[in-house]
Amino acid sequence: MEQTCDDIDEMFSNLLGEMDLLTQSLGVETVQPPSPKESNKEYNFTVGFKDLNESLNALEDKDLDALMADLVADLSEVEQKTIQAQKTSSHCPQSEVTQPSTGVCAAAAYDYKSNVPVTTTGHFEDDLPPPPPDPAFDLPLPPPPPDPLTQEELETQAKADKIKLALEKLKEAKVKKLVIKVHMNDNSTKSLMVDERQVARDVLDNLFEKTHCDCNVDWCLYEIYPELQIERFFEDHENVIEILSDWTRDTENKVLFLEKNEKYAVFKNPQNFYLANKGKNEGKEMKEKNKEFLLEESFCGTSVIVPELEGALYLKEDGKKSWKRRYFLLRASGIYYVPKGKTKTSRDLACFIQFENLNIYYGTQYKLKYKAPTDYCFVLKHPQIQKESQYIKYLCCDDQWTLQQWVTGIRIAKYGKTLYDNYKRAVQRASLASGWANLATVKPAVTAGSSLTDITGTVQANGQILQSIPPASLEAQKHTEMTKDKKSNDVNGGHSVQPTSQPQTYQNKRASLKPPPPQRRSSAVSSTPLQPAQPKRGSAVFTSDPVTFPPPPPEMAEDLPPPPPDFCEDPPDFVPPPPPTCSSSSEDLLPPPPPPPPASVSNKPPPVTKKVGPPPPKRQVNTERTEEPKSMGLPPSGGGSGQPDLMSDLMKALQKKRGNTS
Amino acid sequence: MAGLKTASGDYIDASWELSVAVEELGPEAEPLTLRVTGDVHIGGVMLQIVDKIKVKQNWSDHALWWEQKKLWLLKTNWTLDKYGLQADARLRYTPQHKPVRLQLPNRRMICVHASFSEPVFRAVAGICRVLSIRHAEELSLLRAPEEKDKKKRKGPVLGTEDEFDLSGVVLPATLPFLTGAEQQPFRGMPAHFSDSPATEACYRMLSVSWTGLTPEHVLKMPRPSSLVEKAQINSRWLSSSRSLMQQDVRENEQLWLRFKYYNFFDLEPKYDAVRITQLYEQARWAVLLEETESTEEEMMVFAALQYHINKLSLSADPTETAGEQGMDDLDSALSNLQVKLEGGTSTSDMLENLTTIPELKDYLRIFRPRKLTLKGYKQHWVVFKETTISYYKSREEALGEPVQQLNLKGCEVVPDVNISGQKFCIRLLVPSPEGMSEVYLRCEDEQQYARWMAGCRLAAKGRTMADSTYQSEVQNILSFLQLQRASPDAPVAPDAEAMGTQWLVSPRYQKKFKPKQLTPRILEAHQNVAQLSLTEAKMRFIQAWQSLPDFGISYFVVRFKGSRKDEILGIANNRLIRIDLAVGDVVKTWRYSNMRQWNVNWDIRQVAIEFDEHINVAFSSVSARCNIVHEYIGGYIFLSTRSNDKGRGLDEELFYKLTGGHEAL
Repeated sequence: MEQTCDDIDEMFSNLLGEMDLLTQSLGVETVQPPSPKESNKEYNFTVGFKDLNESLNALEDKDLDALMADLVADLSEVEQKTIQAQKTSSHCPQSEVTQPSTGVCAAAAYDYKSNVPVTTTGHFEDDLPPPPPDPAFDLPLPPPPPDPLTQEELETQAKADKIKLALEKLKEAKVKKLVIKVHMNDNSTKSLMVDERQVARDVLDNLFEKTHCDCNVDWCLYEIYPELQIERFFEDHENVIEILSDWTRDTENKVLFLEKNEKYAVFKNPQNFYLANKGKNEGKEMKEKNKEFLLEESFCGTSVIVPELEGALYLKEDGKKSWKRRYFLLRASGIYYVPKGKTKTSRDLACFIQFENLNIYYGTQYKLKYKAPTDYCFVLKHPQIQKESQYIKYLCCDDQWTLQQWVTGIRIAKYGKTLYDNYKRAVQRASLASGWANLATVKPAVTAGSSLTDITGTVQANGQILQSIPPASLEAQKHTEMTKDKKSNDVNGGHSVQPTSQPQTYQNKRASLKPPPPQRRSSAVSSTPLQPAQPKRGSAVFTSDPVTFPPPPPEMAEDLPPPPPDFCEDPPDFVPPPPPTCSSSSEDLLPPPPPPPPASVSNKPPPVTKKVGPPPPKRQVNTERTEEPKSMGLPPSGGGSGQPDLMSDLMKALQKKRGNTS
Repeated sequence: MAGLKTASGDYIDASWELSVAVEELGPEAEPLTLRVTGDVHIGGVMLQIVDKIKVKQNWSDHALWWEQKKLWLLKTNWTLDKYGLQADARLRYTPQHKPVRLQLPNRRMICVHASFSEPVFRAVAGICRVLSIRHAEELSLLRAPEEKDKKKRKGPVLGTEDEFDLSGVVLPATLPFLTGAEQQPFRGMPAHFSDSPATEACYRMLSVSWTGLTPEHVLKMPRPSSLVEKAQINSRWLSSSRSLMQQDVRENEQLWLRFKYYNFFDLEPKYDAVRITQLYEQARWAVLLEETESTEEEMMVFAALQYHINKLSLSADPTETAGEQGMDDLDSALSNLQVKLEGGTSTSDMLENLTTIPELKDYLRIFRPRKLTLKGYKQHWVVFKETTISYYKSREEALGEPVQQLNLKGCEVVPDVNISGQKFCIRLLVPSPEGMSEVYLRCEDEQQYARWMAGCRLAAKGRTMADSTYQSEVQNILSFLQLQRASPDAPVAPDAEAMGTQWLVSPRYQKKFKPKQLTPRILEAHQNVAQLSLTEAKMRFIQAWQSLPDFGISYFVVRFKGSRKDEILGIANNRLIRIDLAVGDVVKTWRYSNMRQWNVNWDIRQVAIEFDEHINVAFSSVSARCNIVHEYIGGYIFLSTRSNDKGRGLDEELFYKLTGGHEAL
């Protein structure tokens, strides 16, 4: 343990050194902010590493490198968050009243969180205190101060149920994280952090960024069970952590990152699957337009059409060694076979298997392993089954093409239109790839995700980070932010931790525009490193903060001058500026230039509106990848699941209530 | 003015007598005779008629019908000569719109006014407008089956007694024709339904599926037992390009209204309450009567959906608009939360209250089947917490290590219930890395069983008993047990719950399963659909129907050119299928997308189709008139030209061109 910690420590200094280099290479003079560094470290040790120690031991150096990159990204965000916290707290006297209680509560919540038993799977799990949970705990709390003890008795059990529902939803937002080791084509491995809401598509996108591959649609995460000799590619919509958590602790299973033509073959040449006759027509050409029609017809109707598929396959009898030939048919409702002496009319068919709770795998080298008639085998099993068992179904086809037809057909029957949606997204991603790459060379900040940007991000704490960070890691950052908040600034931090309360504080800010200067100033300073360079930027920089907030309640937007054009211009030039003044000036109280801007900043809640601006670049990425919001308090991150809605609704409720009470 | 006169005193000139029958004068009345010349306009003739009748009423819907030629004389500016009308012509002065009795897809009867003078295509559009069914082009009219069929159906034919009358309904005139535009709803239903209680009841009949079905209904319905019989129904379609009158349909005759083309465009719960219901009904009957064949497993899903829809329909209010329920839930949760917050006396208490998840603790008997053991059920203290079941030797040991712990997430839950034997077992197949382990939980009574079963079901889906659906799940299970309790011999209680489950499946499965075997299986399937709303359930049913391999194929007995035996031609929305009549195997499939052209030789009644790569197919129709086959193919091609652009109406001309054959030209 000690050892690891030291290593990490060392790595950290390395990293920071690297950051120096990088920032210098950007032509900006940077002074390392000592205090943030320290707090970062502290954070790491106290929070992250405590839980990570065990698994870190198992990791190789380069894994750690990768991991560090992720963590570093987190750290930078921490600073931002702290600042935010200070700012907000200082801006709103009213919320200050509530702070003590909320702070404590948050801390409690946090503790609870970090003590949560971790179900470690495969590799290890990082138990950073996830942001959303806190809100869950705090939620009921903020209001009480303003207006305690009223009509409690009137509430019915039914209402309590509803709240339970709401809370449960909040709780679900606990974010679990896992570092997974992905094996690359060249036998190397890459470690990356996956959070429990990420689907395979997100992970692929991350890998694209890390590997600079061509991003074509054939890339997939590929799961291999050496023990069962089965393998399959993850579907893009599958939740990665969920899959991995079915693996046993001592598993030999691996995840690969490779290209598989089979993954989307059906969408590239649908005619081979939908129009082929008895497996003969493989490779038949068809006009693109007709393909589109065919796909449209098959996948976009009221119900998905499953390719007509039937034929004799070999089935390995339950627990027996022999393979028996049977006539199978694929229907949308499952796989059927023709019982002895019956015809293949619908009513005579016997159900072989249905697709719920079932994954399909390729069986490899089964001729050897199970004396299969051929090596073209597929396997159906419950995802949780990891060892040999009579509940695993083994089927064997005559040839490669038949195998592919069956596997594809079963996937279509099981996943339906989702498969097509996945494909369309993959195509989109692939076509973006080239433009993306260009962008990356021009302004890395916008393209996000590379370790480079992460590092610069740390240095500058603010501004461009929001853009440079891939949503995934952004999420991670949020985590760290919170924790750091708490460490460095317990009371305020505690408050700011709750995304829910944030918009509220904003409102307050607007209401009472001039809060205690000192506090604010410090926050403002650190949060607006750019000011010296370009005072005007102030607002722009500021915008970055709001980004981390939940969508502003509508009303706010009204009094704010919406400057979208502004934003458009911002990213390019404000990318470089930050480093210079930023952190150096941040902690020591007064570099003369800063003060004015902060004031203007605080005077202009506009940042909130601006916030509208920043998201786009990021959002683009986001919508592509995320189905779930990154975290509750976060910017409207692309996909709309229940959570952000819930949060903004809660906000509304809170505001409404406040309106009533005041 | 001087001239020769006939015996009757009329002048002899170019004029002649035209006799016109007017129904309004009574069936016995002599036809009117008018003195006309060849250059009189039809409009003039009608004026004369009205003058002569001397009955004051609105004659605007009346027009002249030429019986021998089966022709409406609708062009009022044409002269008699131009129509080639002579003195021997028998004309009728009759309304263009007449009542017909329609059997709807839900097998209920309705009386509506239909246009007898326009092509059926337009007449159907008019009917659908009254019924509030969008995309009328997908529906058409069939003749009711011949008498011999009717005899079979004697007995309780689905409420045909209570026929609904919509013939008096007046539609707002401003509605655009054939654009598929939505009408403005009034009190949750199209405005013209809200005129009277009777029409409101009618709307309910149209938009809520009927719940009074009994097994006899299903048994009494004629069922096609072979492809040839399935082909029969397709011989009864009326031609879309000719009018009802031209096809000898009489006033008040019974016709069937059905979805003819299985290509359902833009099903939208918001506007399509009636359409979705009727489509669901057609699907349901197709499944029950085995017009579309399904496997046992599929039938159970259909049965479960029907049960669910039926249950919801009993309490359904047609004026309730679909949707917005999801948000509703959350909204109320939030507003409640707000109340809570405002009155936050015992916040911590509450929190605890809210965050604790209900648990189940009971003595249950557990049985784990293993090879080579004969041990039976053994009593254990069982605790069900979150998604995990732990069991202990006794209650006192509950603090220690459990005998075993089972996480039910992803497991299979199967009921094993025998009410008369008072056996309430839950069979769990719990996945583990090593495989599935099988466990039986035996409960004492229904109540206990329902609670545990509901918990297991939710846990299998990864949810806990804190889930808001837990209580409704418990209720569901209890009501299903109730169903099982009602034996088929018991007097049939009026409410649908007591009717058993036999009527939910086709007669084949009614025979195959005893009720007590059937009910658990339907229950099993029901757990996957229990949370659907009424509309969702109907949509799910339609979708499941659509994914049956036999779905959407209309059969015809044909003779292919160069072949000596009858074969079956299946026409689907994207392809033609040649099917062996005896075995039912698909011989060959041709897709419309590869179709170059098709011709009909009306003299020898042969359809010839050319596909890509110089594939030529020709066949003559045996079971139906040639133009029905032709119209079916043309109709599908027409429907595939529909665009998503809602503002655009349908190209009616194109439809006639594609389907009408020589008659349209």
